[in-house]
Amino acid sequence: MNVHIPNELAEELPKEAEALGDDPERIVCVSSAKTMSVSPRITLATVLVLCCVCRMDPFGGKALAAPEDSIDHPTVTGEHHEMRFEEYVAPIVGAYCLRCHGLEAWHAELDLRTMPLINKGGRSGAVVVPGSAKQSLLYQVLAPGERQEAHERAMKKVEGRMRKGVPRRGIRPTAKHVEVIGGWINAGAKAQYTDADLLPDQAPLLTDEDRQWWSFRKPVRPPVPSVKNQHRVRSPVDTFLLDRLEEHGLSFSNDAGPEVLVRRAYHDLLGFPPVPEDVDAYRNASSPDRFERLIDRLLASPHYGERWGRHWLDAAGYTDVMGHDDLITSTWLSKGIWLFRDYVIRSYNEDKPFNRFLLEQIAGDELVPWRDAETYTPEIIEHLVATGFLRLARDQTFEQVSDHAVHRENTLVEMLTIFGTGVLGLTVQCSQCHTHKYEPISQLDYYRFRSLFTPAYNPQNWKHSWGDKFEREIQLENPDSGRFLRLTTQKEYEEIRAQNEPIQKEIGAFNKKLDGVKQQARAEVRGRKLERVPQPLRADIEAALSATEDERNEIQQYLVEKLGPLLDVTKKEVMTQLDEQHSEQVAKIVQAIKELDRKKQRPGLVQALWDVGPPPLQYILTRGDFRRPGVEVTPGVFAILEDPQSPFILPTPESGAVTSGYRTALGRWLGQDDHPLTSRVFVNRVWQRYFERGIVEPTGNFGRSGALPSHPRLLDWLATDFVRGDWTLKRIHKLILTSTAYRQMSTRVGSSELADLDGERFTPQSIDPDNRLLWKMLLRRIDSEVVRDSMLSVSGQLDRTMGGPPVIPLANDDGTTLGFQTDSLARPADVFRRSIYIVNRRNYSLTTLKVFGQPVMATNCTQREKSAVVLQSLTMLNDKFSQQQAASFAERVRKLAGDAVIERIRMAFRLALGRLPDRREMVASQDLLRKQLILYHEADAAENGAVPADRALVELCHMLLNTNEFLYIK
Amino acid sequence: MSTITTTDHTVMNNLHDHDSESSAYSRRQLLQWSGLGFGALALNVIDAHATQRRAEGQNHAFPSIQPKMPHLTPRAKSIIFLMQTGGVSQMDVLDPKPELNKYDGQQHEIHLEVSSPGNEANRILGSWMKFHKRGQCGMEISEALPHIAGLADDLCLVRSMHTYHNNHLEGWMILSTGKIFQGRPSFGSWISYGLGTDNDSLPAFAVLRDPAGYNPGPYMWAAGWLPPLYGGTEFYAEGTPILNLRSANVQVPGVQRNNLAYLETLNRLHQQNHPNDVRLETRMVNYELAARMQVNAMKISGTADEPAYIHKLYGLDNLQTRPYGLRCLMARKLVESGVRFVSVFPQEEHTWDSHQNFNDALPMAGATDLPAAGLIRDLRARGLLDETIVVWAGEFGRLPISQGSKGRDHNRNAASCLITGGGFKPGYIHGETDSLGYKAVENRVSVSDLHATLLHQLGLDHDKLIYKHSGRDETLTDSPVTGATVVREILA
Repeated sequence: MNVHIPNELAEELPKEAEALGDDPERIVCVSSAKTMSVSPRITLATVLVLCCVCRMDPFGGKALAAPEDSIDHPTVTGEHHEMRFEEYVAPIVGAYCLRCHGLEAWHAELDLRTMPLINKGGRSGAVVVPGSAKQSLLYQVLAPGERQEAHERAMKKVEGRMRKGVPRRGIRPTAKHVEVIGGWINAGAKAQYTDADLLPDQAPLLTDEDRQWWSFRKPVRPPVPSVKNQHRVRSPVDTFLLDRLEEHGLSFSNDAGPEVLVRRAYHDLLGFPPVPEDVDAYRNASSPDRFERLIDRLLASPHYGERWGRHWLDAAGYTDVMGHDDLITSTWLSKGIWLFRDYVIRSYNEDKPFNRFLLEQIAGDELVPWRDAETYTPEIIEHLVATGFLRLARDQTFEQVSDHAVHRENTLVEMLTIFGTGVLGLTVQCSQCHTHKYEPISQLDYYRFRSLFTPAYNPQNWKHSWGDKFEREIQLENPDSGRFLRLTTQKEYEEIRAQNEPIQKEIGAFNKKLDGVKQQARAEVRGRKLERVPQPLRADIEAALSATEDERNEIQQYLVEKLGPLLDVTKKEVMTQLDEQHSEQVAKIVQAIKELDRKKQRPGLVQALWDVGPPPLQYILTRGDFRRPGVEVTPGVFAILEDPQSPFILPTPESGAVTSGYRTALGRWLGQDDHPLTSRVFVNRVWQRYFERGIVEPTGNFGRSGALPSHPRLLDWLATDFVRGDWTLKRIHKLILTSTAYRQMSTRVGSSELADLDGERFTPQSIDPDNRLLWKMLLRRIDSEVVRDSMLSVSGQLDRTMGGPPVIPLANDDGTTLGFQTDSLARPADVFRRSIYIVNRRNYSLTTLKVFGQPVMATNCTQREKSAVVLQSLTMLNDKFSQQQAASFAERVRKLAGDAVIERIRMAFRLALGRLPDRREMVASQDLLRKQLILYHEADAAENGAVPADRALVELCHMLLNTNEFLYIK
Repeated sequence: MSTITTTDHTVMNNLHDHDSESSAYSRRQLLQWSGLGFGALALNVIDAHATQRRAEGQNHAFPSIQPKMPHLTPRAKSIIFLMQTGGVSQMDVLDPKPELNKYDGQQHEIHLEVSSPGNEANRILGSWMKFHKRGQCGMEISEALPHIAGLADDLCLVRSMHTYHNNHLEGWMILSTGKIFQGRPSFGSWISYGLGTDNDSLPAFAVLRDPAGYNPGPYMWAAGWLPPLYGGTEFYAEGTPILNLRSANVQVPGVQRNNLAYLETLNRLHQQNHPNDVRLETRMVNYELAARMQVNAMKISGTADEPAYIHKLYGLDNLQTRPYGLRCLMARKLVESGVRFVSVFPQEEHTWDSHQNFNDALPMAGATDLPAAGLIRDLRARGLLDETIVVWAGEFGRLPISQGSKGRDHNRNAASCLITGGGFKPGYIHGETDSLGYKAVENRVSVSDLHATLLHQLGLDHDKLIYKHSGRDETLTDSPVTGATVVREILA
């Protein structure tokens, strides 16, 4: 038999298990072309898992190509003095001990992941006495005896607290395993890896070249250059742009007309088009500063926060769901996270200084005394809600099969990825397994930075991400509410409970009744199932099942395991068994329970981040493998960004302090006025929203592997000016929006216009085909949300209610997320809420939005996808939503314009495109109405529908929504 | 013609590099390119991507699914991937293990890696499925797949597949994208990126999922960080084949034609002010294609015109086999029309996942066996099997020990898969598992090896099919990490 596969060792937590016997003592990091000596052995799957964000190769092809060919588990007999921890003991410890002593907890303050950590011992001192298994605690708790029994009791306790269904509960090492461990200790407890020194490549020295890289140096406010076309300068922004344009003999395009400008500003600041009255008012205003006034008015609109808050939500990776979101029809809503969305919108509307905004999101919990609060003030709630920013990374631990170290670690990894690309503009995630290949970011840096978060995000003391389906647990029964905080004090909470009690009693009574009705059916189903059990066993299994877990003897335990599932009766089976009368009765009771349940009061919940204990010891994870902690690290920031003049100061928490203050220190450091990245990364992203591309591209990578800025001085000027203005954004908007650059036409009048350069003649097009210099405004595709919101706005249906829980559309089996179940909505008009309030899913956003490039939020999104695919055309033409909007739009036109065809056409153009049709468009429109009228007349002979002229108008309106002009802002 | 590596300059590249907004694109060209690729569903013209890439100093080909020249002489044109979701119990279906029955009920000598509770006893479970030698080659296949077994002499059976995760989601991700991480392009997207399609009215990559619900997740056909036009398009085997292909409201004949003519007029007038913007032109072309598609894509739907023998062959005449049969038939029509990659998924309620009892997987076998065999026979009869590869594979195998009483838990260390057509060795068995079927031991084939081999048959070198993403040359197989190689032994 060939079953001697060396897999005694495969006794593993399933999610983490992999090739433990694998022995790549030397691992070649292919992409960095460096040969690294890595020891001790590595756990393949964990490395692969953690390298998810890592685009580097965790190791050479050989390791994976034949990971198990080399597995040959050493036999127990043989010469024990050869035994080393890595080969013999680590696999056993990994399978049976690490869950509690290393990966998901540090019970007894004991971490068994590596030999140095084992040598450190735990609360009871040393656990291994080399040479004497009998004296070693590690052996004592495994070999029969008092210690073993005590340990067993402790384990039972821990397991009792574990969630039901967690695999491998109650699994213990075999006698053979214990013998191996004893033998190893007796042979001296040798290990290959005994010291925890920093490997040289985990923290290489920074070079001068690294330090000189522009984005790692403080921004210095540059002088404003002088330019020839001084008359085109409206804002300092223009000077920097003209400076570059003039180098090439170019200048700006002409100013755009009032209709274009108003429309542009509305789309950019609010995310939907102006109504005709707005355009008229602007055109008729005579003051020279009418545009500035318009900007002020728009910036003061609450809808500004919805538009610009969305941009931050992209960078932060906001979704309303908790985990993978892999199933369309079943997902886990991230309870209460919408409070964070509303917080962001509010912060933008309040024009909260960005460094403050950031600080609240990183450390809001440390800024307010919520722990001892009598009651949560709005200020406290606001600060707790803000930390939801750090809770946006995918976290699957709500699911029992994913409640493992690997998923916890992965959530940390993704959180840091979001933080890196979203806030720092650096691809820090690459340093997780090895020092960054392109950036001066060492692996040591990565784990120091990570340590700033681990007092709160602690894999060994995890706050689970219960989803909406655990509402009861979170709110009522479970003392461990995971990452949720109730927005009530204990006293208020007790009151709520007291108020709910009578309702709960009533529900209990109904439940009893329900059981009564179902009992008969259940008994029938179970009876049939019992018949499938062999006759002689029936009585035994019944007896075994009726005994409690503790009472059962071994045979009974076996019976329950083997046959128990056969006798389980599902709800579905019961329901099918019920006759008509009874199922009606059940439906009625269920309905009554539902209604009662609705009457219950529920404390509000907020997802927050807070320090769950004193800062845990943190280590470099060798090759990113959380099973292989290396050298211990102190928390800190990236060395390349450390600056003696404005240093990062790590607080030393006093003993008994409830929070470390690490994140506050981080937030304050990031918000320092001269921080090289914070302001630059942010203003660059603002710029990108107006001019499609950032001054630095891509906007999520300011490192050496990114591109140089197209206008370095402009970037630094904007960044420093932003800081001078107390990090407030509305000022920066105004600087950009009032510039000539923003106000110019998106077309060059007479595109053959020539520029004189060295006697030769060029077009701007040939000099700068990509328009990097901004010699004209760009024609911009509106974002997916703006497409939908604009349609609703034009049709007059847009519901401008702000805030609140997300509106949930129907998720259909056919893969679409379309339409709404109206009776489940809080208000019927919710159907027409702005897109930001429709549930944000990781994979399955509203189909209408998805077709137009709503991002899939694997982590976060720093650039929207805007390419044109044919599904967009099909959707705009045939989809029910766009047809309905066309009909409402036409109705609005009829109401506003009356019956006259010319007036209808004019009104339709004004509503959809913000301007009147020109002569040719008018002719074409009249022509269309006439043709469609004829067709509808003919059709109407057969059926009595709406007035043919009105139906023709719907077609016209529908096509206006389909035009390029509607989708591309001039 | 274009080759695929992004460093290659091509005619199109040069055009593009010259100027994204230049008038270098004539309407004619655009129509040709997009038309050839049926940009329709897909045609996505540059802009955001192109400019972004250029900003990153990259040199990407103009995204398009016009036909491209492969690296090698292709042996096949297209792949139909019959996704066997749930984890096929190889020892009950394709990999007979008489020793299992011999040791039935005894403890396995080692503790096997499991994924969920119920395996604590670690006892070996025999198989009650009967295996028979089939065809001239004598390949042993169990009674679970009687119809597929009848094709043994056409099949290449790999018994030594393995993967590296034993949960469904991760397993599917590996099978579809090569790795377990979200955001990577799916296998089919790599193929549409690499080869395009020479059909002028269908996309390169089609997905046939259970319209009633089975939902392995869109990442299985997502374009990931490849441009979206390379992603899979969902087709429905019954009714309207593509989302929004038909108007939600019944339209009076002629109305849409007038509408589109009017739209074209307005867009043309608008374009006069932005003469060089290729995005506007693309969008106009898309409307023409959308209109064409409404006619053409409808042609491949429906079974009314199919002869009686086809109904029988695909099991359309039987409620149990009809849904999957419809998808298999649609798959054949799609590859016949030039679609490069078709993923076919089973029903939600049918999967191979059989934790309690292998018999729970029999409905899955029953629903898919006959249609899958019908598809292969039909392709063969039409002379299409030479140029079409049919793959029958799932995310992992199952364990030799019992879970519950008669079930088996997930096993990432061994699985079997079937491949036929497109130059794969017929009537051939590759690889071996240990005597109880826990682990592939001989000629092990990883999922990435399978990917590499399938690409190879389409003329694509898995190491050269590169897309630059965030500064790294990415490939489907990532062979430096996965060690993926073409398995030449299974090629004819």
